[in-house]
Order: sequence, then C-alpha cells, then structure tokens
Amino acid sequence: MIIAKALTKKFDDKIALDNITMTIPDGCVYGLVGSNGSGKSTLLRLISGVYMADDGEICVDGENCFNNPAIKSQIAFLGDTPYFLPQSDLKEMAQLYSSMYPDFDYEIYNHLLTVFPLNQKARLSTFSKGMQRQAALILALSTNPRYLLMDEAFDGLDVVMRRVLANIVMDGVQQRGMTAIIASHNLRELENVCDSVCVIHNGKIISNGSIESLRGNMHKIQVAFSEVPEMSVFDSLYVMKAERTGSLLSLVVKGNEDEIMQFINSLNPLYAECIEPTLEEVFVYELEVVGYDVKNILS
Amino acid sequence: MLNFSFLYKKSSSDVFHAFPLTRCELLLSRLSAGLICTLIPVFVCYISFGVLSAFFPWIGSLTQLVYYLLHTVIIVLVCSTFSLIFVISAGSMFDLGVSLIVENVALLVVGSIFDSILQETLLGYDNYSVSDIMYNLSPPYFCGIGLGRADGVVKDGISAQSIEFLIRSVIYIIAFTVISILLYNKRKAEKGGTAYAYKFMYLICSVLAGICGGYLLGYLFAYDVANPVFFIFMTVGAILTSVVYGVVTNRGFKKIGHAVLMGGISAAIIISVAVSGMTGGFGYSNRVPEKQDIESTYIQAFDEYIYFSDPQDVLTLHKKLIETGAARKIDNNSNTLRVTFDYNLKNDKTMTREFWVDTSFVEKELLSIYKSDERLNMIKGEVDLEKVSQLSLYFYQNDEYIQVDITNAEAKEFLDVYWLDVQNCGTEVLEDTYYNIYELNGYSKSEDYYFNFMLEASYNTFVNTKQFVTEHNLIERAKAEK
Repeated sequence: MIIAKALTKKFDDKIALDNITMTIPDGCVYGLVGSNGSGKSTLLRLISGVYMADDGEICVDGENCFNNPAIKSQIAFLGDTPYFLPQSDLKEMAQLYSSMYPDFDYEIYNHLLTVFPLNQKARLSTFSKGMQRQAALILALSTNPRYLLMDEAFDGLDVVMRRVLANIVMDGVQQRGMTAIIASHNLRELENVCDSVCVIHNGKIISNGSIESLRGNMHKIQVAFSEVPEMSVFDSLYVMKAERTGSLLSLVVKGNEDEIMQFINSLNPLYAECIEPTLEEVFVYELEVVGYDVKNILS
Repeated sequence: MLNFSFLYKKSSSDVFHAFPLTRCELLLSRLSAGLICTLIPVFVCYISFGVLSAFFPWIGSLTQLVYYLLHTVIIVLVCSTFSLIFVISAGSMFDLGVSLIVENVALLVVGSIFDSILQETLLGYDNYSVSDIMYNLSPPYFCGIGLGRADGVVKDGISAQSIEFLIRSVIYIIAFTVISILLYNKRKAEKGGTAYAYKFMYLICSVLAGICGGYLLGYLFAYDVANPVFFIFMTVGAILTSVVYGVVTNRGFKKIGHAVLMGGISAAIIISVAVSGMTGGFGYSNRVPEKQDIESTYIQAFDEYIYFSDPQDVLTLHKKLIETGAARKIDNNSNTLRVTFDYNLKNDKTMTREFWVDTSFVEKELLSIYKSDERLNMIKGEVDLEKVSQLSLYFYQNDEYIQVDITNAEAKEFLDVYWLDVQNCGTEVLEDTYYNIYELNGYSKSEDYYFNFMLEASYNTFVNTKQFVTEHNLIERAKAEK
C-alpha cells in the first residue's frame, strides 16, 4: 500500500505538489490524471524514490522509499522518456537490470519478447519511439515489480500495443497482486484500465476514488416534451446540469436511476432516456460544480 | 565525468535514481567504474615499462616504476575525488566544465594575487612564490608537486616529505569522498539540467572569477594596490567578470542583480586583503624575531648580502625601523635605501622582510651595519685574492664611468684603503646616489665564476680611496686601455 501524508514538493518557487494526502491500495490499477505540469509525474518520481519530498512523507508498505533499496527493488518506474545506456542493446540492458533488481525474471523477459517482438541485439538508439517504449516496458515488467509506475504509459504505442499493454498490466494485477499506477493527461485512456482514478490539478488532488464510486449515481437524462415545463419542476431532483435544445432537454442528475425515471415519466414526456455518462463526463460535471475549469484540467 | 552524466538529464536521472541502490552505493559504484577505466591504461603502461626495463635498463628499475605507479594512482584518486565534488554540485556537463576550469585556474590565480598583495604590503617584496599557498589550497597543484617529488623519492628513498604527501593524499581522498557522498545524499534529482545543483558552487566560482577579473583590470590601470585608481578599476572589473559569469551560468541576464552582488563581494574581498596588508596585517608586518629564536641572520643592504653570526645589530636596526616607522614615511624628499632582513629561525622556518627605508630615521644603525666587520669579512672572504684573476675596478669620475684592469696586489691595497675610509665615514654614504660606488670585478678560478662587488662609498669623503685612484693613475690607465 502506498500512503502519502501531507506530501509537498517544490521546484524552486513553484509548488509541484501541495500538501497531498492519499492512499493507493494494493492490487489495483490506479490512474493519475491531470494536465501537463499538474504534478502527476512528480508524484510518480516521489513514489519511486527518485525525488526527495520537501515536506510530509510518502511510504510504500510503511517505509519511506527515498534511498531505500529494499522498497525500490519492488518498484519499476517507467518515465515519460525511456532511457538506455549509450550504444546498448536490449540484451545488455536486461543484464544491467538483472544485476540491479533481485527479482528480475528472464522467463517474463523472454515471454514479453514474444509479445513485443523486438530485436534484442539491435542498438536501442535505432529504435522508433514506440519500440523504445516497448523495450522499456519489457525491462520494467521483467523486474517482476510489486508496484509498476508508468508515466504517460500509452504514449507512442499504436492501438494494438495499447490493448496488449493494458492486458499485460491487468494480468499482472490479477495474477501477481501487482499495483499499477498510470499517469496520463488523457482520462479516456484510463477509463477502461483503472480501478481508481485521482485527478490532480496545480499540485492538489481535486478528486479521488474508485471509478464505480465516482460514476456512482450520476445519470445523463435526455427527455423531449411537447411543451417544455419550467425548470422549477425539477427542483425535487439533484440536477447538476441542464441544457435545452428546442423541445429536447438534457439533464445530468444525481440519484437513484429508477426514482429519477419515475419522476421524469410522471411529467408525460414524448421521449425519455437514461444514458450512462463517460468517466470524463462524470469528472467534467463534478468538477464544474465545484468551480474548476475542467476542460483545461483534462485536456 | 561521463560516468556521472546521468545526473544531468531527466530521463537518465529517473532510471539511475530509481535503481534499488542507496545514493552512496550508486556514487561509489560509478566512481569505481570511472577509476577502473582510468587506471587500467596506467597499469598497462607501467607493466609494459616493467617488462621493457628488463631489456632497457635506462627506463628505470622496478622499484622506481613501483614508486611512480603508486604516485600516479594516489594522484588520480585525489584529483578524481576532488572533481567528484564538482560533478555532484553541477547541474549540467557545460557548467561542470566551466566550474572545474574556473575553480582550478582561478584558485591558482587568486592565490597568486593575494600572495602578491600580501607580500608587497606585509613583507615589502613580492617573490612571486605562491607554492605554499597553492600546495595547501589547490588539490591539483598539490598533486603536481607530489608528482614532481616522486623522482626525489626514487632517488633518495622515502623522506618525511613523501610520507607527509602520502598522509595528506589519503586524508584528501577520504575527505573529498565523504563530502561528495554527503552532497549527493542531499542532491535534488530534479536539478539535472539546471546550471548548478548547489548554489554554493556558483557563488564560489563567481567570486573567484570576480577576484581574477577585478585584479586584472585594476592592475592594468594602476600598477600599485595602494593607488585609489586600482580600487576603482578593480571594482569595475570584478563586477563585470561576475556579471559575465552570471550571464553564462543563468543563460541570460535573469539574475544580473545577483551577479553584480557577487562582483561586489569579490571587490570587497580584494579591498579587505589589500587594506589589511597595507595596515600591517594585524601586526604581522611589524613582527621582529627574538634573538634566541634566530639560527642565522642575513641582511641585504648597500648592494651586498651580509651574514651576521650575532644578529644584535640587525635586530636593533629592524626594531628601530618598526618603532620609527622609517619604512612607512617615505616621501619624494626621502633619502631611501632598500633593506632586506632574512632570518633563518631555529624552528626551521624563515622570516624575510623587505623595506624601502628613509635613512634619516636609522642613520646610526645603518652605519653600524655598513662599518661592521661582518661586511668587510664577507667581502674579503668571498674574494680570495690569491685565487682570482682578470680583476678590474669600475667607478664614476668626472662625469664618466671608468673601468680599469688592476693587479691582485692593487686590489688588496684598494680594499685596505677603502676599508680605512669606511671606518672613518659619516652618514653621507647613506645618500642614495647610485654612482657613488666602486665596483670590483674579477674571475674566481677555484669557483669558476665571475664576481662583482658593489662597494658603496662617497667619492668626496673617501679620501684614501680617492688618493689610491690618483696614485695608481687609474683614470689615465683606463683611457689608455680604451
């Protein structure tokens, strides 16, 4: 389990993470979402022990991870830009990683080489961006980590490889109890992979929880009337957002789906439909209510 | 340096710092890797020399090669660990290079500058020797000296100096490594890509550069540090240099105010050193050794370097100089004489002071030195008239310089009459007239060197010497020789 307590990180005068407190449970896929510079990469670097916290602490399995090889050996961190030793090939990098990580598993490595078919003996510098990311993934996953941290994990991967990566991550979580933390500025990418999501903006957590609980009891209702009633009619519902286009009314309503539809139908609409909102829409509605310019956060 | 280049790039820093190693382990493993790469060629060379020395003895004995190898390894270790501090403190390869160059070069120059200022103001002379300061301040200089001494160790065996070098080297290696580890443990990984991970490195380099630039500009416009013009241009130079350094480091004029402040600090350091020197260095320049602490004494005055077995007369002169301030009250009307005191102390140290003296304050004491037996014996002892040849006398007469060959017997007679005049002379000999001099030149066969003695005199009152010149027709003989 990863626990951050009043975690603060500053870069000179800029506060990258501002007094963050959060818990990431074991055995889940956890998404960190936020715009560029929001602090999600900084949080990953703090978890992986690359950065030192300026204030507060971040503990992995109850221990501070900075300068702690025992904890760091269980964490594989995949940065946003893959790095390999100059002139090295994948095989040499695998040797380096196997000498560093006690749990490096050549079986996993060889298996992943069949999934991501890369030439082991070709110089990594000659690889394309996507191939380099695949190589970095192979190395990170071969360390058999308990915690896999990925910054902009899907960058540079084609659609097929994205799906393959998602499957590998979910397999790791299900079969080995691995915890995967994926940072991305694109919520849509994380929607189908993550169990929980945390939205970070300007170094602060503005929303955090499981996707189910976030999506929870929010419903998107589209309803058509022959004569659109006054909005005050809906006062008994928790309407988060209402938009009218001619005789068509779009409502975002919080509450029990059956109760909401029962009320809507009692108004004798010409047409009424309840739609499951996307995760992005959930965030947009939730956050706009509390005054955030969500389009900038999730863009 | 290449082994630590990962520090300066975010992607590589992420990978290396995420490895399950402590910072200390990471630093020592990278240092070891670098040292192995550096030392392997060294060992290969020495092993090759060792093999070749069996066939070509002029290469050196095995013992010699082992000594040299040991010195080389120690020096590589000292320099590597010293550089490591810069490697850890820098934020990019460019700034690492700049700081290494600035620190190592500027440290030598700054040492030389302060040595020059302090010697000029405190000791009265500048012998341009900075070796002691540099030996203690600059590890690269220390290593250079150590390498030079390796030859001495080979020839003369292990000496106290070589043991001191070894001990200091080990202390340096341990100290620099510990400092590097401490710095690295606190180093913020995110500083990769910035100029410096630690501000103090920028501050030190900026101040050192400012001192160098300031002194250079001040020296260009005013030769003497006691000149106000020096201080004005020195301050301008220090600020300009620090601004240039700041612009390079900050990649622009972003922190120009800060750079100006650094220049100001550089100027203030030079001013404080110069002022403390000019005001006597908190009593340092006024120190006179105690008689019981002195092993031997030399004084350089009247163009002669005279040894005194009993330092009493010299100490009396020195004390009177300090008490009367004779060395500090020189003006355009002063009759000046350059006097150097050179003491070898019983604690194996030396003490040298050099003054431009206003003779009017210390006439009696100077005359005492001038007429001393030590001065006569020194002249007579140096010139064994039985073993010299090609003697000539050189003096000024009737508005022209006279040079005439003389015999050994004439030289002996000349010295006798000269000494008679010395015993009877007054303070007129202290007048600073460079042509009131008899110069005795010759060639010493036994020592195989040409000597010349500048015998200070007063042509008008040295009547016996004058009579000697007349009686021996030296002027006519000189003309004839011409």
